[in-house]
Amino acid sequence: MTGSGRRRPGRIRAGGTPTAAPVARRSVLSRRRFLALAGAAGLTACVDAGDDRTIDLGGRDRLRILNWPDYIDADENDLTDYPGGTLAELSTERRMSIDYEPGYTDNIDGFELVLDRAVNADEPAYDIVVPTNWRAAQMINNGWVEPIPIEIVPNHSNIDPAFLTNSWDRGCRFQMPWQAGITGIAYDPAQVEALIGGPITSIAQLFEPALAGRVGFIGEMREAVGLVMLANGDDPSRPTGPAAAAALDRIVELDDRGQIGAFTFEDFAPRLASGELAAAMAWSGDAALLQAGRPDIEFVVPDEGAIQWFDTMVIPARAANVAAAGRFMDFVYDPANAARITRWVGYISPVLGVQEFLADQGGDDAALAANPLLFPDLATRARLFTWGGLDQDTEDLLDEQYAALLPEA
Amino acid sequence: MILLVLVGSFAVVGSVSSLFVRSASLDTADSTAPALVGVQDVFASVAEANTAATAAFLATDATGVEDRINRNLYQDAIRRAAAQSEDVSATIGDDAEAHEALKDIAVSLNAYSGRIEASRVESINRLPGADDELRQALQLVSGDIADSVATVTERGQVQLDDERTTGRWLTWGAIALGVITLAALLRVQAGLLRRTNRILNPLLVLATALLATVVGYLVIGPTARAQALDQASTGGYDTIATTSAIQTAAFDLQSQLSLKILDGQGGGLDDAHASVESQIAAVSAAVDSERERAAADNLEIRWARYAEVATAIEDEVDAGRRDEAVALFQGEGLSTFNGLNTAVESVLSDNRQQFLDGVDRARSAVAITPFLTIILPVLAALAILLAIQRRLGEYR
Repeated sequence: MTGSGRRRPGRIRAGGTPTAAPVARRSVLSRRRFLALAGAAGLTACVDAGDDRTIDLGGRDRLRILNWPDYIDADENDLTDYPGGTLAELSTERRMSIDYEPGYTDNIDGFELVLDRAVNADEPAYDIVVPTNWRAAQMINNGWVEPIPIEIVPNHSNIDPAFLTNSWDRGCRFQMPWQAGITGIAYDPAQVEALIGGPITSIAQLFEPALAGRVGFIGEMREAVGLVMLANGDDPSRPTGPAAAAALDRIVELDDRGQIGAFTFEDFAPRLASGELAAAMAWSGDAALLQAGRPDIEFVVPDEGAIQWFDTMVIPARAANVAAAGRFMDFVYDPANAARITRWVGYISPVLGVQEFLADQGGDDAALAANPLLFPDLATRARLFTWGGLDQDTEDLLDEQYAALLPEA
Repeated sequence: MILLVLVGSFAVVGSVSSLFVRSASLDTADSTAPALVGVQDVFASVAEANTAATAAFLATDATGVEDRINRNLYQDAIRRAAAQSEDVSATIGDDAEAHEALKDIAVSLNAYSGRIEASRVESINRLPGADDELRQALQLVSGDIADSVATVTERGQVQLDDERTTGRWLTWGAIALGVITLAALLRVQAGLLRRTNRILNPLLVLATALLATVVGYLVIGPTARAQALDQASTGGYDTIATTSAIQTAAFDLQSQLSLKILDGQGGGLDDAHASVESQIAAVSAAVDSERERAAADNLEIRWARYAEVATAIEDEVDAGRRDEAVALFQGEGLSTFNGLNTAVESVLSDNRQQFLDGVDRARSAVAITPFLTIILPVLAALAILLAIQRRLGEYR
């Protein structure tokens, strides 16, 4: 395991502030706890290896999708093919059979799994994979993906323009965002108040000696380095080698002096909940999930800003079923279908109309539509930075140096 | 002997004409077509920079805090415009007027950047004159830069038309000479047939076949090239021109909106709306594939969203609610504009590829003609010589 990976799960119930998961979902939460604990032992990139399930929904076409775990709606038994769910509805409406594998566990190992099959095989193993934006950019630049078949994706026009202006794929001609999120700071107000005498509003506060050993740093290099760059006054949306190196040096220094209690992925949540950590760099969707059980936990976009990322659907080059991949993309870009996924995963939807759709539903859905973690306002968006990317060699070096800080598998 | 002179003349004229045609095709593929496409990109980038700079200015003006995202978008776009302008300059060939216009673009870009920076600093520091600097910058884009881009485009189109007709008469001359040579060769063979009672002279038949092949290539190659260029033009470049016009009109509308917000007054923008709508209709009517249809539909949807917000911004300005207008411009205005702009780029990108593919097919159609027009007549001449030698031998 190379370490610098990400798990991108999360689900929240309607109601603005996420509510506690029902008992019927205990199996899900149990697995989540298991994953978090395993993550603490440095196993985050491989714990889900046995979780791949093949869902054959019947129909004419067969579509193979590789996505992150817990990243599409499921029922109380954690089955993604439940009646009324996205996959079952898609199967009925577009008459296709789907192999949905929630086995993309990080952007390093998961990517290599896809890459090997994409480069070394005549036909890649999947029709859709969902890497994170920076990884998708590399795939597109290397010509490892098919263009989006927009002639069968009329809902392409529902892509939020905020995702259309990336320099590496203007107009989303080669990828369609799946979900987006924010890496900010989650903290336990009571503990933080006791330790530093006030709430956390800036990244720099994570470096205060009073929080030594009680701070969690995110295991994703680009997000941790990006946040520290912001604290240093640098812009991670336009990173330079020296600025990124300075941020990494600062992280090493913080780690050496015992400031960092743990490098975490989604396991920041149980560690915060248990009191092991007082504050942690955190993913917005998982923070929302944590707040379901611990409404007192705060999630903030710091004064300096936060990191925004998105995972995005790409069709590997020479995929066997480009047309079916297009149908899937079109289906999940219908606002009603996208809203179903948003209700469950709790991340930012890149689909225009989802907020309005949820608001129109009233009740809990309307409260979700007002949730700033799902639908950040303009002022918040102005403080979000998407990692701008460095040359491949520099990024590889940074990945390697950052991975060296993480616990061994 | 006359026959050999005819074959030699045919070889010379044929190869010269095909070299002319091939050279023109190479110029089109390597120079004119990329430059024509590239200059549209220059203007798109400048206009995008302009929109982002205006949005950043309005936000800074309203809050005193610089709008980082739009500032970054501006810097990216202006850098891209400068690089694209240099690329066009490197590929457009030696057209003096085009180079002069490109120099003007470079000078105007510098002046434009200077005005944007001045308006930025004045705005951040709350100094007077920021509005004027921005207004002059906007005028540079819609005036000098747009005019220079139009000049380069016009010169590119003239060059493309020249290249399309280059070597045409020489080719027809070569074909005519080829037909005369073939006729002479057939006549010689007919005479031989009468005198010798032999059915056919194999070497002369071979020479006839070789020359007929060359004549055939001289007809087929340039014809295929012309067809490919016509297709590239109607299927690609015409739509590129129309789509670029949409982009220009949309950016112009966005600029007018900015000025309207700055001045707090101004006329309606109905004409600008109508102009974009009619051009979108033209693009929709010209689609020739499902993919293009989808891109055109996307363009219509994105335009409708932007137009609705633009109208709302106008209404706010007309009602004297500047802050509300700025907020709309900053939020949904910029978002829907980016949606429209990237939709336009998608259509441009598809048609650009279609145009460049067509130009490439045109180049391929005449790629081997010069080789054939030299080698085959030489072989034909050798066959004729050999046939004459044998005939002389038989006579002795």
